[in-house]
Amino acid sequence: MLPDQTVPAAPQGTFPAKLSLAMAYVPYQCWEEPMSAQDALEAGTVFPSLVKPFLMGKGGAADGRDAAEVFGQNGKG
Amino acid sequence: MAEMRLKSLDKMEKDELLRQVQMHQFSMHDLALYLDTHPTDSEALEALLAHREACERASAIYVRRFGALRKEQAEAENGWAAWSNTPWPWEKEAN
Repeated sequence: MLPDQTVPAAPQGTFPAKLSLAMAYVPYQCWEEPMSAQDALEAGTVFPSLVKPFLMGKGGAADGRDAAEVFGQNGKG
Repeated sequence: MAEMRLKSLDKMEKDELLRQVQMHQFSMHDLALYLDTHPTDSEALEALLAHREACERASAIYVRRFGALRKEQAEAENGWAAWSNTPWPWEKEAN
């Protein structure tokens, strides 16, 4: 198991309680207010947390927040 | 000239209606994907049903005025001709 390493900040409930070394995990998606049909069609998703435009050379979300901050998904467990 | 303008008005309305159908259809499918992994999420289901209703409303108007979007909607009175003879979306005449 994970003796001392801590899981980066993630909304409660998006990760199994116990994480194993050498395993990859994808956080479980939580419900969030979907975008309007028009915005969703343009963004390619109804979920704001999934809007991940390719940013040449700069990581993180479109609005400039870095990956750790974005990782918190929508903050709602 | 008026005839030209009328035609383009019709075309604009047709495009707008089709966009409405596509918009709500996209949201519906995206929410359905979410529901695949979160089948008991009632908020997601509610959102999906709302988009489905909007999509059905827009496509009903579209079909009545501009013809079938899917072959199951092809009407009987003008037979199959309307479905197979109207320009396909990828054809120049349709755009």
